[in-house]
Amino acid sequence: MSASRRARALRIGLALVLLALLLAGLYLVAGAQGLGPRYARWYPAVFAFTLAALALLSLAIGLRLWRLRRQLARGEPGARLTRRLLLLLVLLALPPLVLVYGFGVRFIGATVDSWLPANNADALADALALGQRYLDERVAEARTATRRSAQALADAGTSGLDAAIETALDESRARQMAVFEADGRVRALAAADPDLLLPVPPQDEARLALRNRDLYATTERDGDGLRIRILATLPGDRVLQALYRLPAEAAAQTLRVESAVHAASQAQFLRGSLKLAFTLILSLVLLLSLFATVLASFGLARRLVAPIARLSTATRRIAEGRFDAELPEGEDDELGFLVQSFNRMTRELELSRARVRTSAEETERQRAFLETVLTHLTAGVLVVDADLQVRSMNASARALLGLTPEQPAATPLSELRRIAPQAAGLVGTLLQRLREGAREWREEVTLEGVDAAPRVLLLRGARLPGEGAVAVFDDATVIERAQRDAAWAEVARRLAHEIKNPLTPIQLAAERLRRRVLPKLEEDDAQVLDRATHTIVAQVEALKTMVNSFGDYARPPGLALSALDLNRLAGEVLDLYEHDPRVRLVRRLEPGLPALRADAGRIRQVLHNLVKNAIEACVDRSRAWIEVTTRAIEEDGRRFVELSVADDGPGLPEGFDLHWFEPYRSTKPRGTGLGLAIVARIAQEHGARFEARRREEGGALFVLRLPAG
Amino acid sequence: MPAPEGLTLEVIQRIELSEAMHAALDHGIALRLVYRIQACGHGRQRAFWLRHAPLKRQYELQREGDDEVRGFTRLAALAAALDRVRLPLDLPADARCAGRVQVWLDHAALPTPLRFPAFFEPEQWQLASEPFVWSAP
Repeated sequence: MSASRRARALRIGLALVLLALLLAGLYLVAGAQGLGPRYARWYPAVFAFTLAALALLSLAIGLRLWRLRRQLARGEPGARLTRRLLLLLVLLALPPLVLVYGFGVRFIGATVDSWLPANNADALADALALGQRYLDERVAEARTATRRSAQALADAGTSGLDAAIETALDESRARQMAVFEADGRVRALAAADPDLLLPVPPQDEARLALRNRDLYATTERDGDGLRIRILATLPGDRVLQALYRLPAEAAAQTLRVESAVHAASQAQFLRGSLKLAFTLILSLVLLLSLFATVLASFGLARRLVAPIARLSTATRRIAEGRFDAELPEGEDDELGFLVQSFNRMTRELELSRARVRTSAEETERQRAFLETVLTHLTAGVLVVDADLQVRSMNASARALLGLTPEQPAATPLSELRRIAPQAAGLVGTLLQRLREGAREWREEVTLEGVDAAPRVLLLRGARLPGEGAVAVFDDATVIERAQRDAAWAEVARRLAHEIKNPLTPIQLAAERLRRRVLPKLEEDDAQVLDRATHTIVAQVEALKTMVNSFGDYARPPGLALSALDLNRLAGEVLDLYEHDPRVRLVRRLEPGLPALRADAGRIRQVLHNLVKNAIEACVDRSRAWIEVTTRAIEEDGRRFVELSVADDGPGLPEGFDLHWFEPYRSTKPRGTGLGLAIVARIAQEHGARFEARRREEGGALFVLRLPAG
Repeated sequence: MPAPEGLTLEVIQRIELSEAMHAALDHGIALRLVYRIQACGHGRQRAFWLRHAPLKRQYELQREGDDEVRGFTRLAALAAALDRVRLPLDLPADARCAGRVQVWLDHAALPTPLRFPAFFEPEQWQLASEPFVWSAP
C-alpha cells in the first residue's frame, strides 16, 4: 500500500472513530438518566469528551480553512472554485440547521411547560392535603385510643399488666401493644397479627421526643402500606407503644398521591434545568451537524473540484508544451466524460505535434538535401523574395559572382550590385526582368572584373509562388570555348581533307618537271626551274606538316587507354632531345609514381609538343634550358601525377588566358599555333588539367595534371 | 469505636445544605451522600439518602441498604442528625490500622436535568469534604 493510501485510510478511520464517539457521547448525554447510575458517573467525562471532539472538529475545519487560504494566496488551480463551492454548500446547509434549532428550542420549551399544567399541580396539592387530613384523623383516633389504654394500664398496676394489655388491645384497633421498661426491655406485649408477635422497639429520637410530652405519634412505612406508631408514658418510666395499621387500600392510595405529588414537584423544579439540558444537547447536535456539514462540504468541494483542478493544471502543462498529462478518468459522469475528452484531446494534440515535428524534420531534411544539392551544384542559384531581398545564394553563385566570404549574401539586390560591382551585369538583368514582371526568362550575361577575361553566364530565371524569384546561372565561358574548339576541329578536318589531297600531286608534278625538264634547259633557265621546283617541294612539305598537325588536332576522340609508366615514356621522349645542341635538358623524374591509365601515344605527343614549344620559344637564344619534371601529388583526397615542362624563355605574353590554347594563338614566328591547342585537347580527353604559368625566375611553366589510377 | 460485632467509624461532621439542595429536597428530589472509607487496605462505600415525605410532613434519612428510616419534621433536625454518623467498618474489633474517609454529594444520583446545573454551578451543588485520615485506637 502506498504512503498516500495509508494516510487516506488513517484519516478515514480517525474520522469514523471520531464520529462514532461523538454519536455515542451524544447518546449518553441525552440518555444518561435512562442508563442508571452505573453510567451516570461517566457523565462529566462524556460531556468533556463531546466538547473536546467539537474542539477537534473546529481545529480540523480551521486547518482546512488555513490551507485553503494559502492555496488561494498561491493561486493554486481549483482553490477559488473550492471556496465558492464551500460557501454555497455552507449557505445551503446553514438556514435549515438554524431553522430546526430555533424551532427545536421553542418546541422543547413548549413541550416541557405542557408536561405540568398549573391545574394538575393544584389538583395534586389538593389530593395530598386530603391524604394528609385522612392520615391526621387516623393518628388522632390512634392517639385517643392509646391514651385511654395507657390510663387503663396505669390503673391495673404491675401485677395486672399482662391482662390489662390484652384487654386494651381488644378494646382498641391497635395491631400490637407493648410495654417497655426504662432500659428498653419488653415488659408486656400483645399482638393481633401473627407478623407482629415480636416487638418493634421505637427509635431513640422517638423516646427522646416522649420526654417532653405524654404522647408521641408518628407514621411509618410498613412494607407496602403505612402504620401509626404511638408512644405513651406509663408510671415507673415505662413506655406504652401501640401500632395501628392503616387499611391497605387507603394506604396505597395515599402513597400513590404522594408519589404523584413528588413527580409533579420534581417536574416543576426541573423544568428550567430540563430546558437547559435539552437546549444544550440540541446545541451540541447543531454544532456537530454544522461542523460535520462544513467538513463534508470541504470533502465534497475537494471531490468536485479535484478533477477540475487537475484539468486546470494539465491545461497549463499543455500550454507549456508538455503533453504527458494523462488524467485519471474516475467516475462515469459528466466530469468523467470531460476528463476522458481532455485525455483524448491531449493524445490528439500529442499526435498532431508528433506529426508536425515529423513534418518539420522532413522539411528540414528536404531543406538540408536541397542545400546540399545547391552547395554541390556547379550552377549558381540565387533566390529573392517579393521585396527583391536576396533570401538564399549557394556557394557556386558566390563563386560565379566573385563574392568574398565576408560579403553578405542576404541583402537587397540593389545593395548587392553596390557591394559587388563585378556582379552588376547579372544583378542588373535580374532586377530589370523582375520589374518587367517576366514569369520566365533565359539569356546570357557577361560579368566584367571577375576573371581576367569577361565571364559569360547563362542566366535562367523564373517567378516563384509568393512573388519571389529564383535565378539559376552557369558559367558559359567553358561551353563557349568548347563550341569554339569544335568549330576549330571542323575547320581543321576540312583543311586536312581539302588541302592534303592536292599536295601529293603538286609535289609529284614538281619533281617530274624537275626530272624531265631540268636537264634540257640552259644554265640560267635551269637555275630558275631548280629554285622554283625546290621551293614548290619545300612548301608542299611545309603544307603537309601543317595539314598533319591539323589532322592531329581534328582527330576524333578515341583513346587507347592502358597502364602507363610516365617516367619511362618521358625518358624515351627526352632521349631524342638529349644530344640536341639547342637544348640543355634537365630531368626531375620522381620515382615510384602511381599507376596511370592513359593513351601512351597521346601523352608522348604532349611531351613532344611541350618540348618543341619550349625550344621554339627560345629560338633567339643559343641554348635553351628545359626542365622536365614528374611528381605525384594529392589534393582533396585524390591522387594525381603531374608532368611539367619549364623553360627560361621569354615567358607567357601579356593577357595570356585560356584562349591561348585555341589554334593559331602563337607568339612564335615559326609556330603553327596548334601545339598547345593539341596538348589542351589531349588533356581534355584524359580528364586532366592543363595550365600555363609564368616562372618567377623567368620563362614559362606548363603543367599537365593527370588523375592517377 | 469497638462494637460487639466489630469496629464502627463514628464520623463527626457538619453538613450545610445549599439553597439549591433545600429546594431540590422540598421538590421531592432525593440527595445521596456518599462516604468512601479506606481502612486496613480495604476500600468500602457507605451512602445515606435524604428525602422529603410530604404526606407525613417530614424529612427522612435512610442508610442505603437498611430498611430503617428516620424521620424529622424540620430539615435542620435532619442536618443535626447528620452531625454524628456511625458507619460500620466490617473489621474485627481488635483491628489496628489507619484509615481515611471522604464524604460528598453524589451528582450521579441526581436526575439528568439537574446534572447540567450541578456541572455548571459548583457553588450550589459542590458538597465534598477533604479526605480525613484517622488511626484506629
